[in-house]
Amino acid sequence: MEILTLLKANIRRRKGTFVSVVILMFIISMALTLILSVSKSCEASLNAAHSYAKSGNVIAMVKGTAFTDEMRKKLDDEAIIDHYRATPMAVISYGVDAPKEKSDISCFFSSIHDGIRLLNKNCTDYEDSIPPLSKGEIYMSYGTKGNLKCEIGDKITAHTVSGDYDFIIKGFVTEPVFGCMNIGWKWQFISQEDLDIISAANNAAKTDEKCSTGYVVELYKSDDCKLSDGKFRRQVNLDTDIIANSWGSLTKDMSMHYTNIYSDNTLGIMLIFILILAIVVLIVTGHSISTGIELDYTNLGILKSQGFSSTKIRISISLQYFIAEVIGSIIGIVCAIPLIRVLAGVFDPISGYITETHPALGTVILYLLCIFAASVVFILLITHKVCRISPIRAISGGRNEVYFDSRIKAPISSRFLSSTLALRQFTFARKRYVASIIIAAILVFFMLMVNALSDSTSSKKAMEMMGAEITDVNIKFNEKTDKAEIDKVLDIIEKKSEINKRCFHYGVNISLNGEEIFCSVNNYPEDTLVKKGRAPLYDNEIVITEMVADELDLKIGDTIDAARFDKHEQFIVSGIYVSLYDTGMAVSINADAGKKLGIEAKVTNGGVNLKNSEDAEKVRAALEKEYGNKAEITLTDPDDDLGLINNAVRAMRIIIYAFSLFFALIVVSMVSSKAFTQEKTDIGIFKSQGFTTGKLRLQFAIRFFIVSVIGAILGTFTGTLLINKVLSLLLRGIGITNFYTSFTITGILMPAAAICICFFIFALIVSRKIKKVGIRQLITE
Amino acid sequence: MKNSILTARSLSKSFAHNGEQVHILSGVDLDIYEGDFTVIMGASGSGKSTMLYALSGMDKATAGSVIYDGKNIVIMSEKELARLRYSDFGFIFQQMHLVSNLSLYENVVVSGYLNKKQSPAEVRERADALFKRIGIDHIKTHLPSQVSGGEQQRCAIARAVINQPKLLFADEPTGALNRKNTTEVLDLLTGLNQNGQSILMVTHDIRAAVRASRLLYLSDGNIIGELTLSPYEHSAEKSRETQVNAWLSSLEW
Repeated sequence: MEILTLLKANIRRRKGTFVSVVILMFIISMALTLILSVSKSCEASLNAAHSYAKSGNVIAMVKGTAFTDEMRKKLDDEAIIDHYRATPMAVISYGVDAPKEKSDISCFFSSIHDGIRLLNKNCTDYEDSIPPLSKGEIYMSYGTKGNLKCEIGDKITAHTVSGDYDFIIKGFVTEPVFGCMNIGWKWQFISQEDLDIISAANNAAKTDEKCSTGYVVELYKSDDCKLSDGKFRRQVNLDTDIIANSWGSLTKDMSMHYTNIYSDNTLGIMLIFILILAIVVLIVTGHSISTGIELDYTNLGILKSQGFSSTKIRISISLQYFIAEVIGSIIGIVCAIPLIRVLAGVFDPISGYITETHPALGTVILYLLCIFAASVVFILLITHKVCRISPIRAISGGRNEVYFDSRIKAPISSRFLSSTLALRQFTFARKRYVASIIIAAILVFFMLMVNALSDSTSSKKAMEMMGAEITDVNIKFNEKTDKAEIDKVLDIIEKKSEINKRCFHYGVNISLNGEEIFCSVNNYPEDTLVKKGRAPLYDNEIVITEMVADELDLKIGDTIDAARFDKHEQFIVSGIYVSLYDTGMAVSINADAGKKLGIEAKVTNGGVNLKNSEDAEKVRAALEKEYGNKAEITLTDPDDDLGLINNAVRAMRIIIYAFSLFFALIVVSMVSSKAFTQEKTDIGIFKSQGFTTGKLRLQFAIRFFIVSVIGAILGTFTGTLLINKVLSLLLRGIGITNFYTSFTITGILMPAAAICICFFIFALIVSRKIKKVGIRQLITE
Repeated sequence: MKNSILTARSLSKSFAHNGEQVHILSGVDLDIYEGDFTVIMGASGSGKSTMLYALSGMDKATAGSVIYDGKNIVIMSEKELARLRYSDFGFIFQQMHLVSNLSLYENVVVSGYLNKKQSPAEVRERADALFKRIGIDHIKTHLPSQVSGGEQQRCAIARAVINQPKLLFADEPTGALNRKNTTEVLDLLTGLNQNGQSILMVTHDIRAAVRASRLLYLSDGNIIGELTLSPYEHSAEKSRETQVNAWLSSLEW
């Protein structure tokens, strides 16, 4: 009962602190609910989409000529395969054009089958049934909508070896295997009649390995097969050669990884940010309790003299903060629930399915319980100083702050009186501001990190360094073109501008030590971005990414078995290179090495990266003039290529900035309120000497500005040192193992400036209470 | 005929307490004269300090006027009051109230810097002279927490006079000091007054009261007695003490 009375009195007396903790925990809990619920919902919805589609554990695009009766028998006889589903398809190997966008993504057209779900017109939910298609109509996977910027009713043209075919988009569907934006193959659905026509024409046309017909073969593991999807694919390939006879294959696990890659990574970064904000809350709470004990020193002594034990006092303090945290958390969860759908909606167009949202209350509560537990332990540690309060000492005069000479004793200047006084107040009570400095540093670090992310995705140099293939001028040849012909094109370009990088390679999946890996057969291997070792200049050399090296346990100098259809070769790993192809799971060989695997490095698409991007238009004009009849020349708009991803990063930047600034407001408000209470007498003294409220407020705000500047310097310094490493670790999932920060001056200064200005302004706002301090404060009646 | 430096008319101060108005000062009429060492005495809770704060503009009076230099300080803006504090008035508190993170010297010069009529160099020059004069020059770089109460109060006096105020207010300046320090502080104030400094002091200490040239007695929010004394001389302290005691007894002190 006595604890309850104390608790009620404490809450009543420290309403501001109580409300601040409620608000901070409200933000944390709301953000946690949103992030964890969307993350869980995405995972559950993707699983549900795969269940609905009855996706196989391995999906392979098998050449029609290879999918013989013998192959079928091998699959039937394979013990670890329960069954398989083969869907006939026509390969659209020259890309698909939509009114707003031309794309060279490889498409596989098949007729509609069970498990494909149609989205409504606004792509916000699923229709109950999927109407059959008429001739000339197509259902496109939802991810393609973002790839091609197309809408229902748009006409699209599919380029095949047998000619071009036009279709009208009748709707978008969820096809969970390849249907997200970031998988380079797409499975689209047309009428059986159209499929028969294209298949017949393709088969009749002069075909090569790339342009043909085949089957999308889905392999299902038998119940007693305990292998992972990857090992299952490898074993099936070793036993049947089906993967080696495919244009490509994907395991369900990989597909799910690629599909949710952006939501997983974005939400992962946000989750880390929020958990660090939870630490910030603990720091602020600790600071608040610590100053509270100092301010209440006499009262606590009186309570002790009346028989209150330290434990009871500590429990009442802990409960006060615990109750605030619980209230904030409950409000946060309740407010977050309607927003889950909104956040999930951001990822739907990228991942290609509709997320059915459910609040992940169990996980959220688990996280919150961990935060509460950490908070209680932390508060009990902080309140330990209550045990040291002696009733007699506390009652006889309390605990006045005693200052000792500071080594940082800046002189008081008449000219900069407010600033120098603020600096003095700071240097003499540095400990009081440690928490604020740490918080400012954390906020600046995160803002800097999100700036690095944002600047890098919009910086040509940064994207190149991280392995993205950034071209200024793109060349789409009318027919497959060999190196000799490409060299002529390059000669024309070089007359107009210096070339930085030549991107003319043929992408193909090959089997490496039994694993299917994307391989870039490069006509200009010397342009490969090698991190360690050297480029694959000889026909027995291969460069691999760091992720492939880790996955296959390879290092420079190791020998690797490569296979493509019936060709088998051994290569030596000559270097580790950087590439974002296949989210970092890629290797590269030169054209001669490609020939050994039966791969001709003739290309239809390529491009150049110019040393001076501003020459791009000049180059385009020259190429148009001399090569216009043989190729289509376009210029790259990097914003276009990374549109949705940049939007996601920008959204993340806005959220982190908004959270940081809001936190800064609450933190400054809490810390400065305490400082204000502690310094009431000093304020009175200054007023009695003729300082105006305005001057004192300025002095108060400058002090917090100094605190924020130190925090900002600390945050910026650690940020510039660690951000590359932290982001490389965080973004490994999307293939970035070599994060390259392309900071702009604005990118570096903006977070620091934002935090410093906010600290200054918020402190100025909080200091309005100074006006209410009368000199009566100093009167001893 | 002495010149009035501060004139209070119908000065009232009341506080709300549990929904009721408690009157501390009830229409006080008072003149403070230039060059005087005026001391206000009274029983505990008689409103001495409240009157001092109302007269000095440190606190707002509820009603009435306090005229200084032809202006009513009761209705002055915060800016005007601030200017008055750093240019014309000096104030000494019972608890010294030095800024704890400034050295003794800085406590004094900061107040001087506020008055832009003096250059910073002049302020420092004057502060140096004051520190020598009041005997705390050797500890001027110390922090308040590192010196004795008497030394703190001497520093507070130096701070109060750094801007050469027309009127120096002192609220029980010896209230928190031991006997030795009390004498030192009183000697200092007497010396200042003998050099022409007008002083208005509140005290209930007879030893402090005998330093006055004019004594006022406050009771129930009104001045009910006044005693004029000859200029202070240390040798006549005993007889002054007897005179003041007798006067106080007549007022039922």
